[in-house]
Amino acid sequence: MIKSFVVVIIIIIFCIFLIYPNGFCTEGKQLFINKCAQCHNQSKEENQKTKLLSPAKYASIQWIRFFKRNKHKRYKDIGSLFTKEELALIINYLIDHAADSDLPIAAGIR
Amino acid sequence: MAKLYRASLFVIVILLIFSTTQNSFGEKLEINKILTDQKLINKKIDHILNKFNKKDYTVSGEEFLAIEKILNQQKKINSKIDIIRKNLNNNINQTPANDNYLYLTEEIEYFSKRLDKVERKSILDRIKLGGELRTRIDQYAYDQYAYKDNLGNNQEKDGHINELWSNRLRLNMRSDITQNLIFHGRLSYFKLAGDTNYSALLFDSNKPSIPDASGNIHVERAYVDYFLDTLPVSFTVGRIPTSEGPPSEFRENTTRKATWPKLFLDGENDGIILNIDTDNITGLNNSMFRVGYTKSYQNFENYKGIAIDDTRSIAFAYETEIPSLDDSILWASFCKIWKVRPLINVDPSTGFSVLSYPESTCDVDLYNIHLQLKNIINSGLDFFASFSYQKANQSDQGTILGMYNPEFGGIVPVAELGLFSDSLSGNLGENRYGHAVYAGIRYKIPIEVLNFPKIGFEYNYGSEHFLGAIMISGSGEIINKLGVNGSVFEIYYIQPIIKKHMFLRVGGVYFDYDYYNPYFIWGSQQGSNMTVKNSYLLMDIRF
Repeated sequence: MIKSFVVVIIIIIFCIFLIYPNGFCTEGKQLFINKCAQCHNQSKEENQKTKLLSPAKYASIQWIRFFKRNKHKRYKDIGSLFTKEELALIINYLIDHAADSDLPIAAGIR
Repeated sequence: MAKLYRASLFVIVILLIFSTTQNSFGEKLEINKILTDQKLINKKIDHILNKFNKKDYTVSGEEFLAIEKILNQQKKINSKIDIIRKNLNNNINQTPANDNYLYLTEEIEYFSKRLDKVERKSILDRIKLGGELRTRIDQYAYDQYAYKDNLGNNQEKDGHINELWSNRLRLNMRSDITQNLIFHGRLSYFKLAGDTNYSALLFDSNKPSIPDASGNIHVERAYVDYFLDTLPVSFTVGRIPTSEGPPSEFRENTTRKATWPKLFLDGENDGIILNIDTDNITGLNNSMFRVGYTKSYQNFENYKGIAIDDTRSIAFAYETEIPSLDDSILWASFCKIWKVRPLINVDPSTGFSVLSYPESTCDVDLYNIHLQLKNIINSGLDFFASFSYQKANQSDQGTILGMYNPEFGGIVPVAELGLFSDSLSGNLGENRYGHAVYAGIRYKIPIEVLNFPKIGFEYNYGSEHFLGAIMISGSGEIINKLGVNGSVFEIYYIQPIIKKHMFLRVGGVYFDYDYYNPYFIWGSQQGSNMTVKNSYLLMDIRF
């Protein structure tokens, strides 16, 4: 009885996985790393001119306002560097990892 | 005629003075030239006016031509003034410099309003507060529930709880005292709805799972992380984060919330942890070596002659993220616990009382490995597997239970209980070995309209002598599934309502006991056919 139940559950989850493959991707993070970090360099030695950037720099509502008010244009117009879809993915990533997001907690982790 | 000239002259001069204060050097030269021309015209006008003021004076043809010439010059000056005026207007309305000026003025006004509030708040807020509220309804169906009657005999019966409501509130605190000193705290309230007769033996380890009858708030966590400046080393000191560790975040739909994996140790703990960040040494991301020292029992009344040993433990753990697998955890750890405290009290409703107890029950060695993968190859699929092994070396003395005997007219000893052993079974003093596995998957369904709901399945198994009942009991749930000596299956579905802030979770848990012990780990294990079906619906609010 229990074994059948377990098998059915695993089959259900597997079927959902097949119906909706590749459902959740980390494109936003990859775009952020690959494109944003070209200027917002993560390494201090390589580029001191541009500030290091972390999604935790702002709270989620601040990220939303930053892009809504097109504040990046004041420093550099990034309209030609990203498609609308790419920018939406990056903004989603920034919001998901903003300063007010659910941060991991464990001993010795900031 | 004369008044007209003087008026026009006055206007011209005023405009020129204004324009000289606003324009560049080139424009100033042009204006000076106009002023000079205007002076010449003034002199000519004065000369003609003097003649006009004389009696019987008639204007000659030459003078008429002279006046016409002056008027023409004046027209030219007026046209130049028009050009200057036009340039001035253009300067005000169209130059990029003035665009920025207006934009900045608007921004400054906007920011100053917001900054006043933020500044005041930041000055007053030394602690950041976050909260979690959970309202939950459970249904339990017991089949062959094992219990001891008033005579100490094992009994079984079926039963159910149709509707059990509970509320849990957690207030999470964080204060960045300095860049290197961070305080964390958590105050917790967990109560069944209304009044209740629910009672349970309470340890530090199971406190997160036991509803408080009177709804008191207690301190679940209070510790500081102190990071050294010069070395990648930090210390965590206080009531440390050791309950609801990985992989709890999958089912709880949150991020990692504690240090140890759940199957290693789970419960509230006081102690100190040395954390050595080994990222730079190993080249592995999120890799850390930890040494933890905790005291889970202290005999404050030793000076009164009450002889119970303090329970101390030391743990060594290493964790890392697997290369090219973001957010994964690979964990290996060992823990030595000295002098696990004996059974010192029992539920009076069983009819038993404690007559005496030894200084300790046993020493325990714990081993654990844990693997956790998140969003495997961008599929939305998460997976975890955990394995624990325990070895307990116990003393040959146990807690002596007594029961009232009417024939004797008092309490008489009836049994001596040790770790999964007792005098009646003749196995007191035998070492105990236990193991457990815990594995599960979770899938994030890519349906945006439903806010990406998640479905998960978990399985765990505890062997006959696995010590989960007391060492892994901080689950936050009334029946602690990792404490079961048997098999447990759980399926759940998480429906986000408001992203990050509101979730519903519905699930079913099936507990299949191989052994059940009403005294947790004390006394011989009794084979059991007990099963419990638990279905639940909960709502989580996070803020």
